[in-house]
Amino acid sequence: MIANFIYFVALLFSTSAFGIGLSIVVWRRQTEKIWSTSFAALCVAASLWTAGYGAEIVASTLEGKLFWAKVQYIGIVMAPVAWYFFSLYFTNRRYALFKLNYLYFLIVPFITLFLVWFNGRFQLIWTSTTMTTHTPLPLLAVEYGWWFWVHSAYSYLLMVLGTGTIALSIFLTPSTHRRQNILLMVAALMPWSGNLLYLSRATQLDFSPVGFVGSGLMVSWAIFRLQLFDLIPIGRKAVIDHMADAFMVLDLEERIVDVNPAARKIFGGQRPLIGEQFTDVINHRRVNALLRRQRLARTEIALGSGAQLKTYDLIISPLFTQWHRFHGELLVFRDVTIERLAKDELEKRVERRTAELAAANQKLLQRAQELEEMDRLKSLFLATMSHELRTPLNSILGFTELILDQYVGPVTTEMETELQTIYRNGEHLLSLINDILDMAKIEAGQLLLETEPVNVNALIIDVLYSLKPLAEQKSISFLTQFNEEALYVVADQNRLRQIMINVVGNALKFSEKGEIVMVTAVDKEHATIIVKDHGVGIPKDQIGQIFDAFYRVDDELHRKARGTGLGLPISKRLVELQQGDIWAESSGIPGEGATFFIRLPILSKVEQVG
Amino acid sequence: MTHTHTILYIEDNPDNMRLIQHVLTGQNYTFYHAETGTEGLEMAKAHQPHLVLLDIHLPDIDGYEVMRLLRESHPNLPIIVITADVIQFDHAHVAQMGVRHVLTKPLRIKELLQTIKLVIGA
Repeated sequence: MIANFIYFVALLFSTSAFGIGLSIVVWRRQTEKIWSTSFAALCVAASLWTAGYGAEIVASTLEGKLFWAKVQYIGIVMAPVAWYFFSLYFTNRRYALFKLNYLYFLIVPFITLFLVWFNGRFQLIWTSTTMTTHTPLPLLAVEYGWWFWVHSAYSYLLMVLGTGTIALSIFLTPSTHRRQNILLMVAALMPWSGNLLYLSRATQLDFSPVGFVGSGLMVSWAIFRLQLFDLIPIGRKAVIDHMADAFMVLDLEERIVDVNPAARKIFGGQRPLIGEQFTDVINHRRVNALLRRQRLARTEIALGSGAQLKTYDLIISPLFTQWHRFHGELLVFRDVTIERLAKDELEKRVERRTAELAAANQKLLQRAQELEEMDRLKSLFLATMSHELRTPLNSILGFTELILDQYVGPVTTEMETELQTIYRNGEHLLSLINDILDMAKIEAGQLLLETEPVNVNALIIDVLYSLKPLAEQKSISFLTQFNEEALYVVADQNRLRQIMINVVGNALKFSEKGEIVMVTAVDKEHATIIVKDHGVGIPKDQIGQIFDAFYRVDDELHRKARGTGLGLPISKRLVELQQGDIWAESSGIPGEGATFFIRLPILSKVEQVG
Repeated sequence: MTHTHTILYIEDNPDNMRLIQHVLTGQNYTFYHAETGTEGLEMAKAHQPHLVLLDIHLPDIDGYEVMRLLRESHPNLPIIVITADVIQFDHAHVAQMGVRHVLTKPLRIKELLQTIKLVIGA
């Protein structure tokens, strides 16, 4: 039996030593000071308790035993308080302490300690103290005073609260932490199961300090194997505490039950915020509606006003218990004011740019309409000009012809000569009007060409046929030399005829005899019509100017046959409008004549086949 | 050389009208003239001409409209258009109404007479 006592005492001392060691280890880890302090305090308390108890058993005198019993009490009063604080810190229910000055928790322990040490005078802890004789070693036997029961009740209350807090967190925390918490619970239950046995007098020895051995072992296993005190819960907490995003947990009644420092700073003005109604802190219709939906949601909200206007990206996540019951909501606010401003600025810029583009577009449209209107007016002007000039000419030419044809009476030879002069000049005026209108149409871009494949060879024959009477008057003959029957160019048939009549007409005009030779030649992309006469030719120094408007070769030979001065310029423009070219060559020696070249794009072989 | 044919000329320019009057009466055609489109339509009804010479620019309704109304009232009446408008003249529109003869001002008398003979056969 005595051996058992010795083992028990040895156990007590080793427990004590273990507790001290554990407190040092935890203290040095210092991952979070407040709760590691409370855990270290718990360890120290247990050490004092067990060491004191061991010494009490070993002490042989009543005075000695009483002294160690009193030493034990330092640990006994500390343990429940340290346990409760530890449970609160560990399960992150610190906010409960903000409302209670935790010094109050120490009132009962201090009174108890005072009464223990001065029990001789007050006798409120022990009413009698004796030594047992029926045990292998003499033990301290006491009768308890009423304060002892007060203190016991207080201690049990704190133990229950602490254990309850941890038990509660088992159901509320994610499963990754549950193992640690269950371990803690078991550890917490061990000391007081021993104590209950002792108080119920089932054993002579108080096993409650021994319970701490189990507790200590389990906790230390948790420390080293499950990393109870750091990494997971603490790591998470540290992240949340240091994150710039505001973090809030609401309970079922939408009361704030947890916040991180960022949230306090942003929404609380350093107020704790814990326990406040969420809508008293942030009252936002959309957020309230989202909270009521109790679903995962993300939204952007603007809070504050003026320079304090902030935009937050808010994520609301519902929290569920392990039995999938809705239990509250987690809110994370990320300040996206800068991003929002940048986005707004960008949108504004896009808007402005769009408006500018629309305005520019409008202007262009207006300008296009103006140009269209100008075009319309130009067309109208040309049409009106043509009509208004032709109408009086109709009378001039018509009546002259009428008189010449003797509708109004006999005409003398002299009269006839002068009437012919009027008629000739009228005709010249008509040519001028036609040429000027053509020129004006070309210059105004009003001339529309209808290009199609045209057989040049056939066209030349046709033109020569219509000019034959003029040629016969001057005894000039036409010669044609074609390599093929049909040579197709891409041109406006009527305009090409006009050009041909002009060029061949000039050849006739400036020749007195001989022949006019028409040749067509073809290369890869072009057909060239060559018109060669044997007339007066063109002085070499003026050959470059004959295509200028109203330019006339001014010499005796040319003056006899004046045109409008617009025939070649119009021809040149018309040829160019048909992607062609026109030029002239002449030695300038009268009788050697001039050669005109008209080059036009041919229909490609493929197109001809097609 | 007596023609039994009646020709109606619808033209608002008095000089041009007089010119044609001279030529046609000189050729012994029975000649009527109207200065407006509406008047022309009335004259066509009243005199039942064998041929209408029609100007396009008229003070009230234009020549195209006169042509259309004449086609309704006198489907087989030959029409020769005489116009100074060589730019905006709507050849396709006129051809659609079955009018194939268009003379431009300034007129050549011989050409006019040839065309008239061609159209009415006398």
